Amino acid sequence: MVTSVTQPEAQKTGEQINDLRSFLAAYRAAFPDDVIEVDKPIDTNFECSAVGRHFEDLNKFPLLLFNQPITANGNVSKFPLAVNVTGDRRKLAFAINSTFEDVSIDWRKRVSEGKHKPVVIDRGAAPVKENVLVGDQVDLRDLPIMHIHEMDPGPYITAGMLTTFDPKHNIDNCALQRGFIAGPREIRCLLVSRSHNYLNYLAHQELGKPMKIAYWVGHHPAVFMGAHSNLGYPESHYATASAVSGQSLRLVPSETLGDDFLVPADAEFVIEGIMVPGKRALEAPFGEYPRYYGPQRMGEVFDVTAITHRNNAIWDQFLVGMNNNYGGTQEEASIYSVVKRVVPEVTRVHVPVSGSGRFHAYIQIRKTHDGQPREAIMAALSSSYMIKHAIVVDEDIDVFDDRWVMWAVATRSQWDRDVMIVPNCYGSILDPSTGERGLGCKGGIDATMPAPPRRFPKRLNVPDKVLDKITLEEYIGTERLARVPEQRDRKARR
Amino acid sequence: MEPVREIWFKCEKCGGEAYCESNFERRPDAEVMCPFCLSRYKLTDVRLD
Repeated sequence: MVTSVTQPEAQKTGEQINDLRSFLAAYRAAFPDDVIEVDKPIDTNFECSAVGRHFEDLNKFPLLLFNQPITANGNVSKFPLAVNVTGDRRKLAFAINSTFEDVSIDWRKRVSEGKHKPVVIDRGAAPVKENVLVGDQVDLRDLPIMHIHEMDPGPYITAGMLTTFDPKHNIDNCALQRGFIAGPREIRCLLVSRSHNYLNYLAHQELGKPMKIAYWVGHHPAVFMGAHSNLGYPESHYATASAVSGQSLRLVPSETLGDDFLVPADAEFVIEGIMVPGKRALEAPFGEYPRYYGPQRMGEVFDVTAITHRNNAIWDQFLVGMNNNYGGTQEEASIYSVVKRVVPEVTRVHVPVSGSGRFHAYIQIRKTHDGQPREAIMAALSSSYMIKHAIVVDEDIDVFDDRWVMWAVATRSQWDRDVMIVPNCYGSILDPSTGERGLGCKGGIDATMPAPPRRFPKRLNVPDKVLDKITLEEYIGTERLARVPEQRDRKARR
Repeated sequence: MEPVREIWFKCEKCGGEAYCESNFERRPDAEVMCPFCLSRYKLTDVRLD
């Protein structure tokens, strides 16, 4: 239940409100070299994504602020464009005051332990109401929405939290779902068939009523992560946004969808509209997280009724298909909790970018019994239809580094003994190797050493005390160290 | 023979090739849109395979 107040608690106490701007300021102060502003005009039609792609080739993911993005209308936008706010695990960790290794567990812990609840504030106090455009005043092509990949049919909203309410309980649901800008006031969405927004869509269809819907774009990543938490249906994502950010999420009534349709007051943009069940139009191909284009389909049509935005609003864009740390990071905590029930000796789980942030799970255990790896594999594979390959390794293997996981596979597994194959499972329809309707095969590899008391050859080492004593900075120098070339020309990968 | 996952088509105007979901073939009048130039066609007119 949302509490209604006229003066926000945060304002009464002087507490800093969590929004995209407060995050940018804090992150810039903490990591000034990881925020790059681009002042030259640059086209949102592929050029901004080319910059993102070049950085990915360098294995670097700075937060990019394009101050003069050129829109689909061919004009320099009055709104700056932010990229890589949430696409990088380090920034996710910073957003919730966690660490690179523990961010997933801490994210999940905040969801379950959060005490803060959303509040409703007056329109006059809501920054997102500083500018209100309705009806013909709306032209989505004025926004710096990126056309990311070559076969995408146009600009796509990729970091928009698509929000609907279930018609029976009026509980909000938020999901990160793509939207193709098909005209000045038309967005074509992908409501994934297993998603709760799609369940709301079906419920409205059954009632013969149009569904009220909104995208909100640009908020503190902790709010974004909280709103995007995996929950049951129907459960409030505004509540988990409050829980994860550690602050009551401020909400405000919509402009055109009624006072009971609440939107985040501190978002940079809110796009309001309706979806008439059954009204669909062509959408995609679209460059999706597995780094392939998902096929053209009939997308659900979102007819826009209003856009509200802050003064000097910042558009936020997610580079789908590049460095997908985001989806995998959330998945890790779910896998960890499922594996933990059957193998309490699990120590870490990582869902790496090499599996497109979905398909591989690396599971590190403190092995005491030879049966543990298979138990862990079975639990991990059944924890989500997305997880396709589970690899179990020992505690000495860094699960955040593919090289060492693959080394463990190379030197600690024999596939006639250590591989499990489970055919005919749910898979992702966006995994191009699955069959019709996403029917796929899952599998696991036990890449662990035998459990004690059996002994195993010792891996190479330089004495720890010497490693700690001898640093490259001291013996080679920081400046010279930075000039050492990378091992290969990364352009060769294209 | 394994059922197709995608149906490929080729734009008559710009020559671009793309694909749509396999369920499009269940609708005899299904249209597709070239993602490169946004031209629209009946799928049966531009289908490649």
